[in-house]
Amino acid sequence: MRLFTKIFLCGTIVFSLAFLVSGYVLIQYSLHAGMEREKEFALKQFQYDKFTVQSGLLSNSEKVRGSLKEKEKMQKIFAGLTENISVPSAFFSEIGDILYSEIKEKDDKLWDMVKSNCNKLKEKNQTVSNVYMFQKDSTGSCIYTFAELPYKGNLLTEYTDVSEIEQIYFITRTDISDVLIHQEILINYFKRCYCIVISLATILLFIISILFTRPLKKMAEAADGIAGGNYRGRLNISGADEIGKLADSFNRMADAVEDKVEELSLAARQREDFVANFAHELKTPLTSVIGYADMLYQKELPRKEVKAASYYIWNEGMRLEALSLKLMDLIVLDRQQFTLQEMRADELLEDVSSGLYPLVSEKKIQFSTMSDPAYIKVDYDLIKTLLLNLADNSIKAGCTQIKLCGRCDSGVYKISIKDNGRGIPEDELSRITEAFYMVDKSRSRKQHGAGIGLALAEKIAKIHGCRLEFQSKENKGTVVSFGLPYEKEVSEYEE
Amino acid sequence: MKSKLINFCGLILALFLSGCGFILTEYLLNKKTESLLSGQIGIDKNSEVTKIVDIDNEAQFLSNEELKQVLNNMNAKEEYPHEPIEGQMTMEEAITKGKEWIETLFEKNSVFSNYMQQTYQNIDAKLCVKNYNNDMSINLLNSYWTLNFIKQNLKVNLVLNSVTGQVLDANISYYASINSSEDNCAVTVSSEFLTILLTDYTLSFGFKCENIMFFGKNSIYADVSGDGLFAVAVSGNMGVLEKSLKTEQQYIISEEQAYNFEYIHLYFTTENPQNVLYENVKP
Repeated sequence: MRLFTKIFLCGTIVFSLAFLVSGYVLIQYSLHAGMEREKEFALKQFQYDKFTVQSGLLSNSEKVRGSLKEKEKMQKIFAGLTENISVPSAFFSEIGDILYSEIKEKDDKLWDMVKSNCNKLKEKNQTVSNVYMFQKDSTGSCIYTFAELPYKGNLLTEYTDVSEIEQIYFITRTDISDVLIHQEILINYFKRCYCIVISLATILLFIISILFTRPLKKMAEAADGIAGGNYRGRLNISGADEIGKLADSFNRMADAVEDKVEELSLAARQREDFVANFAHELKTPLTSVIGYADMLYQKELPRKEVKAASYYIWNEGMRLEALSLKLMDLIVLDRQQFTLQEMRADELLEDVSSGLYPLVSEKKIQFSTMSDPAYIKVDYDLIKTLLLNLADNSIKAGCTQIKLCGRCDSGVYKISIKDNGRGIPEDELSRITEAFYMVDKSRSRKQHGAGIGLALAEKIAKIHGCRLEFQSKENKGTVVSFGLPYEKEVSEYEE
Repeated sequence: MKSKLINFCGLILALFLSGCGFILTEYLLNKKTESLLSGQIGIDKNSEVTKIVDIDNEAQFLSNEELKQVLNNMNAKEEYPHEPIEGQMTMEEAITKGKEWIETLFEKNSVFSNYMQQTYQNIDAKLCVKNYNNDMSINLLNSYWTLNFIKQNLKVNLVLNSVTGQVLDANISYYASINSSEDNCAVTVSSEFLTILLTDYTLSFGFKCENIMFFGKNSIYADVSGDGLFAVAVSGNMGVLEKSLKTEQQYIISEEQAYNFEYIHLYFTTENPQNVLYENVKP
């Protein structure tokens, strides 16, 4: 079942239940209060009426004696007694003779009701005084109140069949139809209110359900889109509530997924390129080696040709060896954890200069070093490899001058190698640190290059928390620099 | 398709439950009403009252403090009728007491002698408690018999203490012809007459009547101050009282002859008469 339907169903049931229970309780309370009120009023009035009857009987005792044998006169006396009583009343003797009755209910039925209730009370040793009973009969709803009026004497002896009467039952009937009519009106009004309110509530719940489930629907669609490859899909839902936060989280998740996918795609592409280039770099010299070796094997060649072929095989072998060594370095750099150690930058650069001296002397390259004294944190071997690689590239670029500088600049120790070689075209600058990428493949291969040197240098720079920056102009030269954070400068004392 | 069907069924179920709930509520309400009107008997708990204050049943008079308390409660508006309980007079006894008081009054004052021979046309009595506690206990001092005696041309309304039978308030209304001298119902009320009535009245409570003041239509208003008990006898334009006065007069004119509808009101009060109405009487 959809969430929309669940919300609607639960909301309707809960609302309906609450409304019905409240209505039931209120109407019930109203009925109960109304009945209580009527009962209290009836009983209070009954007591007054009882006093009226009793005082009337006492004060008219002589008149009553004079009318003993005449039923009509007796009726008149009782009618006189009940003159000031506003509700229908009746009088019974203790044996059930009707002395007088204004109550429309059949007399024998009335007497049965009074007698049975009186007997019940007497069985429980309770007096029959101010007894009440709610009753619905053929003429409507009412409260019957009745009591025994203790009557001493033989006042009515000759009128009835008993020798002496001690009790007269006095009964009144108070109509309480108004309470029930009011109840009926209340119920009808409640019915109408319920229909209206439930209809409005249904519409309201419908709208609320839609409002609550719409953002979730959008989320589902966005999630489907991402699953289908559309990593750019985002949710346009704002708000400080849980749904707003969920949408925020979803968007952040989508951002992370998109970045990760791009990263993975890039890595996959690079890996693919790497493998392709590697295969190509491997294949190219092997093809030549196999070709020349086959030639040597198949034919008897003059010494000169044999020498040339052997030289070619040796050259390509050297290149493959250089390639494999550099690949090993690349792999090692990826896998190892390096701890940087503090050392003096100027001393480092001096060491590098010393290492390059034989090579630059041989090539008749003017090499100079200038460095500010400072302490930097480096891995000595790696940083030396980096600087030697850069210097090697400068030499391969055909320069006549190489400057190695180290300067303190705003908390960064900037090391740069500047040469006046053939330079790098501007459109190639962004790719030169890619593995196997060579600006001039033929020249590089001649010099036993495989296009991995700068990739290695970039990796070393990354380990030291910096990047290689290239500035180059064709035929003018190249400056390669990188910045290392330095802790402190060397004091005059240390110098 | 299946989910659409389920959703549709869910909506229908919601509406169905709402409708059923309503029908059930109506059924329960009707059932409750029927059960209330089923004819089960109940006894008015308020009729089973008990007393919380003992007044000495043998005492003929209320003490000063008891009288004050009785008078303070007497004018309360809310009253509740109840059957006499132990210590209180029955209706018969109260009526008898009332009759005795009236007869004594008529015997002592010849102006009422004509009424003595008349029979009572109607006697009405009720026992009510004022300042009623809902815990079904009553203070006997707050319970009063109110009696109405009606003869031809005479109405006497008495309020009796329900234990001692002392008449706390007496209103005697009677018709007196002002034209016919042969009419035996003529009654002349004078200040001396009222004084005698007041004296007898206060004596019936065991009090000595002191500081009698009387007040007429043209008399100067006398400054009355202080608290205490005030016995009052009022009639027509004048009254005699211990420290208090009230005047009122009504005329009923018939075609044949003019009757002067007089009344005599004897009562005790704890209210300072200065706080009671004095319209038309101030100088």
